[in-house]
Amino acid sequence: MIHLFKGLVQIRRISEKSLAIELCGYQQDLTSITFITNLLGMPVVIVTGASRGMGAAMARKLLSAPISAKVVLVARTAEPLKAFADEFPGQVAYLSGDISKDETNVDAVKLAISKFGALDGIVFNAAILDPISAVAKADSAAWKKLYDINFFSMLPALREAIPHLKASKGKVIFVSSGASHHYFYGWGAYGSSKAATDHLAATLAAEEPDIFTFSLDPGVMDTNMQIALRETHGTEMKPSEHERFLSLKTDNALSPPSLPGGVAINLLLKAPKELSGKTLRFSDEKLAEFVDK
Amino acid sequence: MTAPVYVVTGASRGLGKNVAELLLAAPILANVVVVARTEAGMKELAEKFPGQVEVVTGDLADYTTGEKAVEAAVAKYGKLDGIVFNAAVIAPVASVATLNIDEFKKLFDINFFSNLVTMKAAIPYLRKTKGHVVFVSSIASHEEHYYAWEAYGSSKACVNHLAATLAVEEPDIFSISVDPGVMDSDMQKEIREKHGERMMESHHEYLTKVKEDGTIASTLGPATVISNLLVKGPMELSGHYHQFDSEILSPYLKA
Repeated sequence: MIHLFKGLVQIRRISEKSLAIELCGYQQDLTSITFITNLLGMPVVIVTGASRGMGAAMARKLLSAPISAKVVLVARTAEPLKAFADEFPGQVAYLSGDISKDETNVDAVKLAISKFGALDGIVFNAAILDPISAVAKADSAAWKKLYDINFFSMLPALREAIPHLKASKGKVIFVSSGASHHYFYGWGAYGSSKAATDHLAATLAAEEPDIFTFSLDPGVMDTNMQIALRETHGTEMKPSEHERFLSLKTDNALSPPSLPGGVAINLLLKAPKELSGKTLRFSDEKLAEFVDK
Repeated sequence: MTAPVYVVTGASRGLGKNVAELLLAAPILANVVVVARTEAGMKELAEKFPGQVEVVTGDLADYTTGEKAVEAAVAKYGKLDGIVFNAAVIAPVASVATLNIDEFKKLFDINFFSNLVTMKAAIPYLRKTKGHVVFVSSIASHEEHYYAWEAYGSSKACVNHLAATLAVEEPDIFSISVDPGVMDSDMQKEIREKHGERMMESHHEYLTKVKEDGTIASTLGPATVISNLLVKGPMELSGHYHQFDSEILSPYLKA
């Protein structure tokens, strides 16, 4: 019998083939050593929109040494998530589903608990840009669909997660945008959903002093969202503003997603109390120490 | 010069009714389409200002209500000069940990998406008259993060964003978002009497105290500012968000 912490841990034989470890009421199958590694401080983090772009970059940083976190990855497509699971055996649980459905968010939290025994953090990254269109042409169903993904989806996730995040003194990072407080022709839907996101980060910090929250503006990155912006949305934007995004690409001035993504993860890990509830751009001088060198 | 034509939502009581009254009375003498769920207060206005009021009864959670109000203004009075987006609900008041998601979304239907749909219907008419729109907002939209006020507060953050986006998209239409402060209205009554338990105690105590000691403001000050901005708000303020009693809006606090 192994006694890791005398009196706190018991190993029980549940069947001929499996043992279970019971610690403080949590029972975990010993064939995954994840629960033991949790005792050693590897965080358990949910990342939404983890199949590509900034989400994938953040997942990779979490999974790789030295962090070697356990992650629950959520996206619409399963293959990229499975690829992470294959690359980092034992560290990944994943869920492919529609984040605008409450169940997807609740299931992600439940998966973290059932597979890894705890929840230390969430990175709310999944978002859509569509529709880019002026209010004069607004399709309210399209705006609502964007809100379902970009904003409302976070509420059932948080409601399910908060008890676990309180227990672990957890961290929540929200991926925001400069569009939350700068106003561009045609960007009312996306921009206002990010204003709501910033607001949620602040309220959550005020309501839950044990939980660190931060809303990060990642700037303009070299991702699929930017491709869509350049190639599809030009007709609905102000020409000079669309031009700015085209130039950023041709001038090679787009950030690799790992740059702001790195700041997000470093903030999640270090969780400086004085920044809880705040919204800042990744390149803000107050965040200099969180940029990977 | 024909009388200006306005739509005021949530006009059956409180701030909305006060705004409508100021617009209907001299010197403005506007024609006003009033929109609310309950008819009673609006009928009073129609009786007090015969011929100047068109009543649209309906729930703004149904987006066609706002569209109907715009259509009524144009059908009855031939044009539209402005809208006061005042109608809003405060519930659900609940911490993020305990929120009912369906109630949260319903609040957004009334406080935000309805404004979007109504605005879209109104834009063609407002471009013609170089119209003005005023959105009623709240300090809960950004400065104070009140325990259990995420639904209402975030919806008002979105309203502020919409007002600012409109100013960028529609150079001929004046758009502003105004925080009216704490007023002696039914919304405050609901907060005191129904939602106290869910709120932070100190916040609830403050709102109860200002009512009990009589220092709570009336709707008149904010209604005056809103109606004046609706009639003559200058383009240099378009896209802004301000408290009704801020320095920059002080010229509009006078009748």
